Amino acid sequence: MKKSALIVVFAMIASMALIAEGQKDSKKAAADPKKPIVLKVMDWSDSSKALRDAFNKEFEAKNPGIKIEYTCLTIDQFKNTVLSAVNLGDAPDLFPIPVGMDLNAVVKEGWFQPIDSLVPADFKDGFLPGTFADGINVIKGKLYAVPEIGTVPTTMVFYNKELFEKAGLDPNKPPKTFTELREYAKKITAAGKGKFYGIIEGGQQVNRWKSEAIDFANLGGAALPSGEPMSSPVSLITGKSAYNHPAMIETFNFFKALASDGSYHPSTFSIRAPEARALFGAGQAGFIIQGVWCVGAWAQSHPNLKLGVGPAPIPDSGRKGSIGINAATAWMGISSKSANPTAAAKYLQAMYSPEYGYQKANVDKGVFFSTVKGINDKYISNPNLKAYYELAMERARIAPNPKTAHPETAAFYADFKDVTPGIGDLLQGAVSGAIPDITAALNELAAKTDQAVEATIKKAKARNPEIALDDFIFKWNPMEDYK
Amino acid sequence: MTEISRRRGAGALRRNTLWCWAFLAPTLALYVMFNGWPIVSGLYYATLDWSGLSSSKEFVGLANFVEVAHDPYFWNSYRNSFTFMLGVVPIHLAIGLLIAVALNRKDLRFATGYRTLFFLPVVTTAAIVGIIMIFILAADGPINQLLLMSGAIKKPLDFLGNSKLAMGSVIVISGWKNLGTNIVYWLAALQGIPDELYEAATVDGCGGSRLFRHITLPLILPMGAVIALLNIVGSLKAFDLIKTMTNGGPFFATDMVATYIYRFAFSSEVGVPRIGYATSAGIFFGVTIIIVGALSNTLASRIKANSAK
Repeated sequence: MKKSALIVVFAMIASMALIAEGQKDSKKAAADPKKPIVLKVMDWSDSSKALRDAFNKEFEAKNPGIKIEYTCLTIDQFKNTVLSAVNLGDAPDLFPIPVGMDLNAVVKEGWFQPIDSLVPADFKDGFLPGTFADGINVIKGKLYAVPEIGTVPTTMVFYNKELFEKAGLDPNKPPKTFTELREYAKKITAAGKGKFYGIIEGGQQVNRWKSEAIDFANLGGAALPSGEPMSSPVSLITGKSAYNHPAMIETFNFFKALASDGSYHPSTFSIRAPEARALFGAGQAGFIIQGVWCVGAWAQSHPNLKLGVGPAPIPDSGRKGSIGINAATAWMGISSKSANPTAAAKYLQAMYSPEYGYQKANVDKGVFFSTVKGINDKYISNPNLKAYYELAMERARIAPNPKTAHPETAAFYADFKDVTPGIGDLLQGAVSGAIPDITAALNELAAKTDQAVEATIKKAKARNPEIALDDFIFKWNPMEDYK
Repeated sequence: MTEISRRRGAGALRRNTLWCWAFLAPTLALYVMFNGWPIVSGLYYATLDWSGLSSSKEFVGLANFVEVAHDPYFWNSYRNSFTFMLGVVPIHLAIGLLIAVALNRKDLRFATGYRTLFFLPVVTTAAIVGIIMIFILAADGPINQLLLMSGAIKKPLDFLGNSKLAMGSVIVISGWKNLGTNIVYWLAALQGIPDELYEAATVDGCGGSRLFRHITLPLILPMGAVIALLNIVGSLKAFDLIKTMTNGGPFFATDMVATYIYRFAFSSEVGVPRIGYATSAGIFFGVTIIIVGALSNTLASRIKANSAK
């Protein structure tokens, strides 16, 4: 027995020693100056993936000692993968902050390192004004993350001019109000006779419903912050939840009416945004509400599509507000555990550098609007992209941001728990017919949100006594930029 | 037996036992690492208000469990999980058995080919099956086209996007996807019945459905109980197919406990994810599965005991 026990113990020790030796070898390989530095980059930017692959090749060619290992995941996959990687101390060298997470919190947890000392002093000067702001991508004066794209609302109305003509509508006059859009969608559905429909959406994606609910209600005066992550769960003017604002109820009724008219493409509720985009491109629907990234995608996949761009529609009661945006956002940062921070910073710099083709290629192809100075003016060549930019910026205004105005709110965001089901879930439920009483559902969400905000402020006060509900209230006219 | 030989016998037994433990050790170590430890740490996490991201964890005792118990959407997902199980298990048991009986016929040509066809969806990744099924069930997909052409419907049906049809659709797809495994189980049970029994019964004038009722069914029933147990527990944990096909929608119509847990563990709009809360929901439901599993097991044991008499 003693012999056999010894064999088992020896085998275990031998295996552990082999593993340890293997790890040592891999560390040696990483430190070997002759071997190229391998930079791991991970994100979820699927619409710019082809251009990123081209940029990675360009970067490797100009920097022979650096190899790029780029992984593009879906939003959900990315979040799970990065959470596990950070916890295991094996985060990629460069990665964005997962959607819904606050930079303050992750910097506090040691996810990222400051970029300032790794890039030239004039790095930030190359970006559009307002791109960097304390509490968003700068923490205590140090830069931790760079935005991916210029901020533009993502809820403009694209329409198919050919289907407009078939329905007897003027292809140069897109709808501007809820009623107009509803009437146009009805006419297109009738003309389609089952071949094409009024409108299509990626109905399975709750975040799309959420964006539409908030942006359209904001045009009616709800004054909620747009974009991901939302900078506040309450109205930026009243400090109370605006989920039951009359403009939100009107928005819900508008979407529900589209459904009861039979204007939605029958696949709407079982598909996601990319599938909806593809079916719209194939001429199966007259309208789709999406963001700028579609322009480039359709130019490649459906070059014959007669595309029109219209504004986000306003409630019939008239425009009383704007889609509140913030120029500063946080996206890519350098992992605090990166073994090659200088090379990582070089990559980050190259992405925004005019010497590389990444920014201009994305703008030229209509993938996004750049956050780098001069790029948009010079390289927007697609007329639909120009139209989108003008219409979106007409509907948008710079909104106040509690995170920037009151850095002490970081304690609030570290504790706040979303109320579920959220506004996106409710709109999906209302349109699919699962919620019969819209007003009651929105009142309940608003009440729960106010309770959650109150409870979180109370809890956050223990960490920072200065925090108060007033931090979330601003003197802002939502028809003008906040200054 | 002398004292020496008795001692030798006892020594050999002890050596055998120790060898058994030596061979079990790797499996035990893996179990402790990948099952035992997560269960224990899960019990701990369930008592915390913790996002899973931050090092700050607040002990909240049983507050997460109380919140889970008061959330109507948890009970909705709980109910949906059982509805799904009650839909899927009969498909696996009844249709699986019928196909297995057909495939077990010795005079059936190309039986191996048919078995492979039925087993193919099992080895296909659930996510891929889900995505393909979205296209098959789409408004312009083959099923809707067939129904439209036959005049059964006037407008295409949104099988996965209509809250009244979505649950039925995912049940049918899941039932079909995992049918192959159950056919294999049933085939194993059917092939364990000695041919002599059928021959003797045939000589006695028994045939057709009577052979099935009086010989096949009683002999495969104990195995059927085990198949039922595996299916009940497996279908209560459904996740991958649901996540791909409906993501729990529309408006939570197909939300299972697994998708509910996932939503809280990894999603957030303004705030942070809630790993502690999600873990408590997992434990809550885990206890349910254990109870359902234990009840099924007791039933299976009784069936086995009865059929042995």
